[in-house]
Amino acid sequence: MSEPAALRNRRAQRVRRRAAPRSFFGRVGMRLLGSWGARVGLAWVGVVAALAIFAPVIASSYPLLWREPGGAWTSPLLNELTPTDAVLLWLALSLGVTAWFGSASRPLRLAAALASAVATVIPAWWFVARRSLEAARASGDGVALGVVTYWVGGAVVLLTLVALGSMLRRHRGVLVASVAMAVLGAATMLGLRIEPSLAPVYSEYREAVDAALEQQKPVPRAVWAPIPYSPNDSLSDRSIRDTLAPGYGPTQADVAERLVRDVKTLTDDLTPTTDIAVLVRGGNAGPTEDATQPGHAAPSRDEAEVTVEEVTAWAWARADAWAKANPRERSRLKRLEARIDTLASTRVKDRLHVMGTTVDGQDLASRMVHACRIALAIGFVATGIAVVIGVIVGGAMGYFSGWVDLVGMRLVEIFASIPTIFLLITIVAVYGRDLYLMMAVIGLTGWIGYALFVRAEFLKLRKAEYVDAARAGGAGLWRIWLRHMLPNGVTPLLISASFGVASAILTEATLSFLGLGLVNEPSWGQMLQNAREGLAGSGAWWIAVFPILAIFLTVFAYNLIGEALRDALDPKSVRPGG
Amino acid sequence: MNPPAHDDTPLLEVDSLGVSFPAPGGKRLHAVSGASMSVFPNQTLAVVGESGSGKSVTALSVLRLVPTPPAKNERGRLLWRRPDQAEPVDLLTLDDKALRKIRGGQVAMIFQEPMTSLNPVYTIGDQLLEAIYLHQKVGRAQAIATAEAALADVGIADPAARLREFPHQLSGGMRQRVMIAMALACRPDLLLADEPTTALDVTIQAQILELLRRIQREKGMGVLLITHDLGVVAENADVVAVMYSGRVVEYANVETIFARPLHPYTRGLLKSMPVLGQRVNRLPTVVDGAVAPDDFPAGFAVADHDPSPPPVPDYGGASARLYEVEPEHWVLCTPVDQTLPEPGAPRLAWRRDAVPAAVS
Repeated sequence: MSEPAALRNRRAQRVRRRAAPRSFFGRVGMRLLGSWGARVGLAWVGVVAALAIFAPVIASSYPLLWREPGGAWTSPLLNELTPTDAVLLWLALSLGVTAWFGSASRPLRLAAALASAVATVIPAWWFVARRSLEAARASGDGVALGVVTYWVGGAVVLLTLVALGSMLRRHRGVLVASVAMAVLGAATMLGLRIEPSLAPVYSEYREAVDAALEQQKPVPRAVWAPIPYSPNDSLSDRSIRDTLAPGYGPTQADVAERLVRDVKTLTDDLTPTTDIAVLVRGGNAGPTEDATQPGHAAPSRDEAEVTVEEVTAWAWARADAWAKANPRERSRLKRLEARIDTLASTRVKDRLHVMGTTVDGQDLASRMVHACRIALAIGFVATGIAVVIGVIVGGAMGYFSGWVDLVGMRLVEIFASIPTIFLLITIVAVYGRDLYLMMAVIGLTGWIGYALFVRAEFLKLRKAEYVDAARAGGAGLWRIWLRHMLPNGVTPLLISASFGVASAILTEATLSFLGLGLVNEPSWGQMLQNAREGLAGSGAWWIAVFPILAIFLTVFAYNLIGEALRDALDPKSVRPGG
Repeated sequence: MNPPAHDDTPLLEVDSLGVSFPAPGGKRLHAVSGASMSVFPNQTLAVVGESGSGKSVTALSVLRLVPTPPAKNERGRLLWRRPDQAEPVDLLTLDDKALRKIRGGQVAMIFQEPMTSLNPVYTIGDQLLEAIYLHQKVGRAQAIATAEAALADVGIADPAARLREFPHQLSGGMRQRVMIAMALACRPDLLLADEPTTALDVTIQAQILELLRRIQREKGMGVLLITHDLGVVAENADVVAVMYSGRVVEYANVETIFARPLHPYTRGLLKSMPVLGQRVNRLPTVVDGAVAPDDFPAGFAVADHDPSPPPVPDYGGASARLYEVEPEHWVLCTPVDQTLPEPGAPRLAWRRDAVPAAVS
C-alpha cells in the first residue's frame, strides 16, 4: 500500500507544480499561446527575427570557413561582419544561452549568464580593438566621434539598466548580469561606429574556386553559407542574362544563347534564331529542342546539348568570316573578339537561385533575408520610440492631471495634425535617406495613440489603493509609474503596439516603393520598386511576388498577434483580481 | 525588542492641521480645519468620527499622501520625532527625498480595503521584498528572511510558500495580514491604520486587531487607529480623539471618554449606541443625545451640536479651540470671561496598561 500512496503523492506534486501560480501576464501569455492566430503570427515573426539576426551567416558571398591549399583555416565571413551584425549575433547567442538555462537551478543559471557575458564581452573587445586599430591607421577622423558616441551609448545603457533593475526584481542577479554584459558589449561595438575598412570584393572567394578548377589545381576547402550570395553581390552574370528565374542558372544554354545573340548583333545578322543547335551544328540538330529554347533555365544534362565550346568555335568561325568581309571595321572586330573571349572563358557553374535574381543580378533570396532586418528594426524601433514617448507623456497627463493634462492634450492635438508620410517625404528631401531618421520620424509622430491609452489607464489607476500603498511605502515617482501602474495599465498599449509595428513596416515599404527609401541596404519596399523595372523589361514576376508575400505575411502576422492579444487581455475573460 | 527610550515624548504631534479641497463655485471645502492630536510610543490613538469628519485626510496628510494640488495645506504643523531624535521635524515642510525615507520606513500605513491594496500583477514576495529593499540595505537572502519573519509575525502559516503566491490566491483576512506584514517589515515607529478591519468579518476583525495590539506591545510602536466602530475603540484604544467636521471635538483617554463625555457630539454619539439587553422602541440618533452636560466645567462654553452635513466651516465657533477643561481631558470650546493662550496639540501619554511595554 505504501507504493501507490507514494505514487499518488508524486502525482499530486506534479499537478501542483503544473498549477503553479501565474502572474496576470503569465496567464495572458498562456491564453495567447492557446490561440491559433497568435501561434501562427508569433511563429512567422520568430522566423523573420531569426532570419534578421542570422542574416549575415545565412546569406553571404564569403565562406564561413576557408582554407587555402596548405594554409590555415580562416573565416572570411566573420572577418567581414559589420559591428551591427556582430552585436546582433552575440546578443542573440547570449540571450539564447541564458533563456535555455532559464528554468534550471540557480548555479546553472548563473553559469549560463556568466558564459553569455564572457561570450559577449570578449568578442566585443576583440572586435573593437581590432577595428579601432585599423581605423586609427586609416584616418584619425572618426575617433573623437566614436569616443563621444561611446559615452552617450554608455549613458543610455546605464539608464536601461536602472529601469530593468527596478522591473526585474526576482531573478535580478542573473538577468541583469547577462543583459548588462550583452548590452555593454553591444554599446561598446556600436559606440565606435567603425565600418569595414575595405570595399567588399564579393567574388573574391568564388573566383578563387573557379580559377582553381580551371587550372586543375586543388580547390580550396570551404564551408559556404546556405545562400552563398551577399545581398549586394551583383554576380557579374549580367553578361549572360539580365535576370535569372528561380532555380538553377546560368546554364550552358544561357551562355550559348547569349553568345549567339551577341555575335549576331555585332555582325549585323538580323535573321531570327530558332534553334541554336541547328544553327551551330548546321542542321545536325537532334532531339534537344526543348532544352535550347530561350528562357528555359532548367538544367538539362542531355547528351545532345550544345556545349559552350561548340558555340565558341562557331562564334570564332563567324567572326573570322565577318572580319574578311568587313576588313575596315577594326574597332567592332575588337569588341566582337573581346565579347567572345569573355563569354567563352566564363566558367558556367549552375548556381541555385531559389528566388531568382534581381535586374541587377543580385540574388533575391539573399536580399529577402537581409531585408528582414530593416522590416523588424523599423517596426520595433519606431514603435518603441512611440511607446516610450507615449508612456511618458500619457503617464504624466494621467498621473498629474490638472494643467499637465491640459498642456499634454494640446500637444497631442498638435501632433495628431501632422501627416506622417508627407513629413517623411519632406525630411528625406532635406536630410537625405537615413534609416535611423526614418525610424525617429515615424516614432516621433506615432505616439499619440499610446499616450491617450496610457493617460486613460493612469487616470483610473492613480486612485487605486495599491498605488497609494506604494506611495505610503516610500516609493518614488518612477517606481510607482513603471512598476506599479504601468503593468496594470499596459493592456491597451500592448494591443495597439502590435498593430503599430505592422503600420511602421507598411510606412517604410511605402516610402521605399516611392523611391525615397534606403539605397544601399535591401528592404522589401525597395525590392518592390526594383521589381517595376524587372516586370516591364522581361516579365520577371519573382522580383515582385516574394517581397509582396513577405510584407503581406509580416503585417498579417502582427495583426493576428494584436487580435489574439486583444482576446487574451479581455477583462471579461481574465480577471487580474481573481 | 527594546522599548523606546523616551516614552513620554510624543512621536507625532498634529497641531491645528487644516486641509482644504477645491469645491464647485471657486470655494474651498475645508476637510480638516484645525485638528490637533498627538501619538506617543507604545500608544494607540483612536480617531473616531463619522464619514467625512476628516479622519482619513488627517492620516493621509501625515504622510503627505493627499495630492497637492488640488488639495492645499491651509495651516498647522505635523511634528514628527523618532524616539531617538532630539528635535522634531515638520512633515509639511520636508522635501520629497526626506519624505520618502519616512514613508514606510518610519511611518507606515495600512489601508481599509485589503482586496485592492495589493498589486495584482506581483507576488506577495515581490511586494514584501520591495518594501524591505526600499528602506533597508540588505542582501537578497537577508531580505527573504526578513519577509518570511514578517509573514510569520502576522500569523501566516508556511510563509516561504506564501511569498510565491499572488494576491488573488489569498483570502481577505490573509491579504490584510500581508498588508500589515508589509507595513511592519521595516519596523516603523508609527503605524497609521485607516479602518484596517472595516472590510473584514467580525472574527477576522478581532484577530487582526489582536495581532496589531500584540505587535505594538512587542515593538513599542505608536498606532493611529482610524475607525468609526466604538466597540473597536473601547477594546483597543488608549487615547481617543473624537472628530467632527474636520475638528477634534474631544480628546481624552478611553476610560474618560466613555465614562464622562463632555462635548455634545461625543455624548450624542455614545447615546446612539444600543445597549445589550435594553428594550427601546426607537434607537436615539446622534442628534437626539447631543446636549452638553449640566456640569460642564466652569469658565468654558461649548456650542450646541450643529447637525448640518459636514464639514461645517468652523464647527463649534470660530474662536473655539481644544482646551484642557479638566485634567487630561480636552474639549473643543470657547473660554468665557478669561483670556487663555492659544492651546497647542493635546499631549496625553496615558496607556491602558500600568506597565508601559511588555518584554517579549
